[in-house]
Amino acid sequence: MKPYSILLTLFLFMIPACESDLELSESIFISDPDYPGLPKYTEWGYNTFGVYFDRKTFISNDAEVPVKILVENGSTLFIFRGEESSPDYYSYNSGKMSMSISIPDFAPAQVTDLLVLNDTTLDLTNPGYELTLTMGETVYTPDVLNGKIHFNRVQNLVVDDKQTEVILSGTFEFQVRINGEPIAFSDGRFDLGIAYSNFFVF
Amino acid sequence: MNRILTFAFSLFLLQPPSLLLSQDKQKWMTGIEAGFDFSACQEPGEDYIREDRTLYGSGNAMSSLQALMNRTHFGVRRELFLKDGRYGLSAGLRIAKSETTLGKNDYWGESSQYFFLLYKQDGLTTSYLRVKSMEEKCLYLGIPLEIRVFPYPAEGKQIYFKAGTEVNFLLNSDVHVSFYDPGMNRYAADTEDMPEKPAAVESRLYGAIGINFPREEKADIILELALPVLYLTTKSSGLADPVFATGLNVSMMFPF
Repeated sequence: MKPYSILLTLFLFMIPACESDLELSESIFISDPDYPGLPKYTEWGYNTFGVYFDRKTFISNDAEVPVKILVENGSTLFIFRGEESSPDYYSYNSGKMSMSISIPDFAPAQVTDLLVLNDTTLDLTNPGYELTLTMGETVYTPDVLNGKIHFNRVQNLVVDDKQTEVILSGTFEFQVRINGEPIAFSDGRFDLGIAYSNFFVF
Repeated sequence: MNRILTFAFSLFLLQPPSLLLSQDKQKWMTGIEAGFDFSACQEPGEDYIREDRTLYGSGNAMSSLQALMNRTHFGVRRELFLKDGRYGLSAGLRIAKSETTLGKNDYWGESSQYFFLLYKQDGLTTSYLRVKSMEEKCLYLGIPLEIRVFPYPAEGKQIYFKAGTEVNFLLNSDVHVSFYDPGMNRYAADTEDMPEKPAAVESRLYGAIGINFPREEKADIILELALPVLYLTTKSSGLADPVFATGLNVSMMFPF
């Protein structure tokens, strides 16, 4: 019984730390009155993102982890997961959608290494970058005509004097061509918390 | 001729009500009162508090943070009855203590829930503190001015309707922050200065319905329900904006 008692005690001590992470990992979607359907631009780590495309929205939701960062082979992959929706009404039949951006020659070893992105703009037309869009079951690797992602503010978040996560906040926009059809993604914004639960180094 | 009429009318207005209505029996009453009221407050939107919302299936979200204000008061007042007791005009002095509490939905009990307070931003580092609740206590000196109307003939208990306004002068205010982690109490002094100070002068308008219990040779007992109490000024609290209130008042009035 002794090993089980020790494990139970350790588990009980872990609970406060787990609770704090859970509170901060939840998404808080505050609608932007000036951009219907999109979340308001914030820098609180509300775990939301949103962008307009072809009169629709690609936004984060409560079901999917809004962003995961994978570091592998000297590159970093940002994966944004959410849903395709409409800016005019809430849709109960939203389709799954995701966007991933691969950035070469950038390999943070730990979460706090992301702080170097503060006030940084990445040009998505850079030949080394790869943008992938997934709508439903279909994966697209479009030609990027132009676009950028700007990390307005990257903050190291300390809660009760303990380093907890890094908050990435910024804007993005780009134009792509998919199967010959040009599509513009505009007024994009993100406010995302990065911690142990969504930062992976392979 | 016009100047003479104007001067005469001015003299007429300067006469005390007892002379203007000299045909009616007047009565002065003096008494003490005590009461309390609860205010519904708007959703707090302070820029140093991280939002906390529960998303419902329809896509709507409701903040889990709530602010509640309650106030207790006691005072003295003097009332003049006119028109054979059909109307009562009163003025007085009140000491009122208000308490505003900001917390999650179940903050009344021993809640393990908390919200995040933005403590400081220093370069690329941002510090939050986990807070169970924030409480603000204010002390006011108030001057109420009221009129009571007794529409029914005086036969034992009397129902009346009241309209009043009060001006309250802030004497003192204090904020207390309860941290989720007691180890963070060392930040109390800094965080308790974060909320805006309440306004130095506050004004409220209220209506009420009550019952007067007259007693022979003894003080009248008065029970009153105040509904609604409207705030005419803003920033009655540094933690939340009260919208309206309702409450109860008890008085004892002596003929004097």
